Amino acid sequence: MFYHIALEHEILLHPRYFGPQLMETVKQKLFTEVEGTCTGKYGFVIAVTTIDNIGAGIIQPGQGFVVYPVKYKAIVFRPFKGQVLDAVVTQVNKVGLFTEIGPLSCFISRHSIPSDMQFDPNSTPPCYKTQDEDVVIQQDDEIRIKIVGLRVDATDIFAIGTLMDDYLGLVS
Amino acid sequence: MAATKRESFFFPENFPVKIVKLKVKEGSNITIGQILFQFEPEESPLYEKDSVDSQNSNGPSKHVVRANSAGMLEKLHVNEGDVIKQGSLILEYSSCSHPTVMKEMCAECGADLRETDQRSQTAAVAMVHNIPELMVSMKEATKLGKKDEERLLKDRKLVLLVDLDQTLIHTTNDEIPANIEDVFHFQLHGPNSPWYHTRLRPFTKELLCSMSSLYELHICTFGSRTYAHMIANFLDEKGRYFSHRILSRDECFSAHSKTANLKALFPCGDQMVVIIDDREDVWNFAPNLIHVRPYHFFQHTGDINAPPGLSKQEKDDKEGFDFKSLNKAENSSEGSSSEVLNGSTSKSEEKDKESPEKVLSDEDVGAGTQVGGEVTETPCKYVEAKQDDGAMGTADDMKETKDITTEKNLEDTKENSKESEEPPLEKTVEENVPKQTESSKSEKSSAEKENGQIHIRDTDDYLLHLQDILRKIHGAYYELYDGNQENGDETKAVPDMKIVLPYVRRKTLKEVHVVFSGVVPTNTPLERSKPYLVAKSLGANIMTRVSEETTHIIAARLGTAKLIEAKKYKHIRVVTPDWLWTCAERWEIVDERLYPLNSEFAIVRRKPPAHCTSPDVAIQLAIAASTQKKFCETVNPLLSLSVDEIADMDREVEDILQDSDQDSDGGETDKEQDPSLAEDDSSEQRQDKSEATAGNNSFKDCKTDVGESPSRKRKLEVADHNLVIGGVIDQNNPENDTLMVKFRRGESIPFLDGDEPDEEDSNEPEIDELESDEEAEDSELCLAGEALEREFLISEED
Repeated sequence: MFYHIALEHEILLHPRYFGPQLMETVKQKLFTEVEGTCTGKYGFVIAVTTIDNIGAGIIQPGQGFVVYPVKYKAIVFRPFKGQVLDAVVTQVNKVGLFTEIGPLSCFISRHSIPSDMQFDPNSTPPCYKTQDEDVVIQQDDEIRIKIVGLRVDATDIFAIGTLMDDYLGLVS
Repeated sequence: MAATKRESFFFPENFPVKIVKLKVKEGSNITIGQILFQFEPEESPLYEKDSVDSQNSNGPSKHVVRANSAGMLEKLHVNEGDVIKQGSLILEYSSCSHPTVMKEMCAECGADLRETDQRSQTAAVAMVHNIPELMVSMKEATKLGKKDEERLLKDRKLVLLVDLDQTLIHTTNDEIPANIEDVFHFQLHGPNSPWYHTRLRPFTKELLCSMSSLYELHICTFGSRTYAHMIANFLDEKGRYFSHRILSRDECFSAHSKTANLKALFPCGDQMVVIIDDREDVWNFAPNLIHVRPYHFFQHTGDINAPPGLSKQEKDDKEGFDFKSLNKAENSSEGSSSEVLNGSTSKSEEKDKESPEKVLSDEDVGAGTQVGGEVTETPCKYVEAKQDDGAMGTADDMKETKDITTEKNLEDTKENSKESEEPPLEKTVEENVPKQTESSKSEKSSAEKENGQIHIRDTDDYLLHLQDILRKIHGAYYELYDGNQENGDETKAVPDMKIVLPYVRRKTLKEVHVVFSGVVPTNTPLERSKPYLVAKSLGANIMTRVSEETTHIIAARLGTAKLIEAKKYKHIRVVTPDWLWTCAERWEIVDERLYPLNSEFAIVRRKPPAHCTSPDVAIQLAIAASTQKKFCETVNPLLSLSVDEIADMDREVEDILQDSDQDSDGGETDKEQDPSLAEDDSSEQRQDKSEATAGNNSFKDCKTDVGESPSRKRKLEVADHNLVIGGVIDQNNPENDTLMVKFRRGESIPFLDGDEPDEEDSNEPEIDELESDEEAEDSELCLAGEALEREFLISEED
């Protein structure tokens, strides 16, 4: 799910940036440091929308670096168990499917793929397909999945998905 | 899983319904969201689907109950047509056994296995080449493996594991000209990382293309994952051959062996697997391995991805093309090097050409000579092949002489490269130019320029032969399989490649009856000699006497009794051992006329090149050397002791030895009387590529030698003494210790002979008559001593 939430971040800046462009540099640094990262709690930071407040910089004693506390709002993507999402297939093998949902990787075991679809290693690229080749899932296809499990680490999230539900599978 | 809990599933709704259709069977797996059964409301037409427990997508027209957890269905308690009400038991299931695990999370039920106390993971087989995190249980793996096997049999395919470095490609980090044909240049780690230059072996793409219809191709390499995928991309742009079947160092279980991964990749056994690799050791000398001739294109570069500890530098400077010399040669002899000369090359000219090269290599001129030897343009294929072999011979010799300097290389590569490159190159160029004028017809240009691209003549045609071998194996395998099918022999339905491959190899020289003459040293039992084993593995019938049946005599020199006797029979062919080595390389009977034995042909390789060693041979050798460890360890257990302790020991040993001087001298002479025995023996048993093994083999020899000596007991006492002091000394100690002592006193050390048998060969082709030549032995010992000393110093620094 996507959220628009207020977050905080501290920017550590080298003294060489002290100058007329200082605030601009802080903002730039915020974008590069924050966008695309992942925290277990909030999920993936997709984009910073507004920078609400850049606090007073504190110069670190003994080194001259300055630390700015920055408050900003960002769009974050936090997947949940049970959520239905569209994913892009990245790899197909005999054990299952690997997919990507934007920054989130998701694995679907072959047991979680409807049993009428079978793995065909001989086609290039390899795919899962039904007997009559009506439905073929191969690399770069878009499929709709449901998340059944999430592994949330401090800096990464990994998902397990399934195709065993209504309206899941190939998005055509 | 042993500890699965049996759980029950009750009907969740609060009204009675009638089951219309069951969607699951007893014994089947159920996953979350799977439909268990369809029902229709029995009495309540106002039924509104409101699933509490079941994860149902609400569809009023579709009345289904879905599973809310994953597991295995143990027992169904209802039948189609039954009327059930809330709380009635529908089925029992055992909870998910987590057969597929991805990043410690069950891929079936989504449970995080780190949270539960199921630390003992059930899934432990990494079945997918490039995703080691994805594990499946043994049961699941077997199921998948079975499926794979069935599919392969249906498609009449086999599995071929392909090594990259030195088998299909050769990669270097050295600076080379940017415009060489068929060389890929790439960086792996961003813009400032080192450049890699990869040359595909000639006919690589043809091989992949033709083999992909007979084999399922897998890459198994010790290169890093990015490297492996990069190379795979060069070999196979569209992903037709390898797909994602790429196993790299990052996925290897062991840094030294690829064998461990086989079990995971092929849980049903590797009976359909053929391996091609340039090293046998990483496959533990598997019988289903085809040991290919290593491909060497860039000079001064060995296998850049050799497993750690296993002589990375082994084949440095061995052969290949030196681009520095190319540049130089072009500058100095622009005219002659840019033309290609296609004159018919007669054999005598071949020899003329080869002999100066030999001389050069013996003088340790550096591999620059190989520019002439390896990169050759020859009109006739057979001659070409032969010359190729000649080049290999030179290369081997050179390797042998170089072996000693390898360690020096390790120490100061910079200095050494200066030494070994600069002066020899000049020499090479000098030599090349007169040679070209001398026999202007035969001396070939090494490179020609074509629209800005340097075109290199690469005569390596091994992959063509490899194709034939692989086809033969495939044919034989399925012939056997069909035979088994017809006989209805269910137990042996799938033949084992470990039997088929040696069998195919044995068919190579089936009709051939061989007599060796002057090849096997007289004091070595024939059955244990390398040529014997190689010939045996090719299926040749080896005879000790010349008779009517004999078809070939493999002789190392002229005028032996057997040769004279053979003159009685017209049909007997006389060939050099090289004939046998080439047969072993190609698995076919090579034209004997290419390997005639005549007086001019002075240099004969009595030992097979490393890649001709069949696994049978290798196994025998491995068994012979099984108890051995690293060279350094075996030679010198003292390294594990402190300096003081060693000094202490030295004093004590010195004392004791002064008493037993006479005794040990006796032992010494005992040994010296018969140095050839130790030497020949060890050189026979030696494995070309493994120095350590060789050293160890000869250890055995010296064990027997010293063991007979009267001072044996005394020395044992010394060793025992050391044992008390050091407390870290192993079984081999008695020998080691006495050897160390001998070494310190500047006496000759028998095991070192075994260590560099290569060297003596290059200097002394006549193994049999080595006794007479003590000079060579001495110098060799000096070198070996130096090597030992260096090793000492290095470890002391540590």
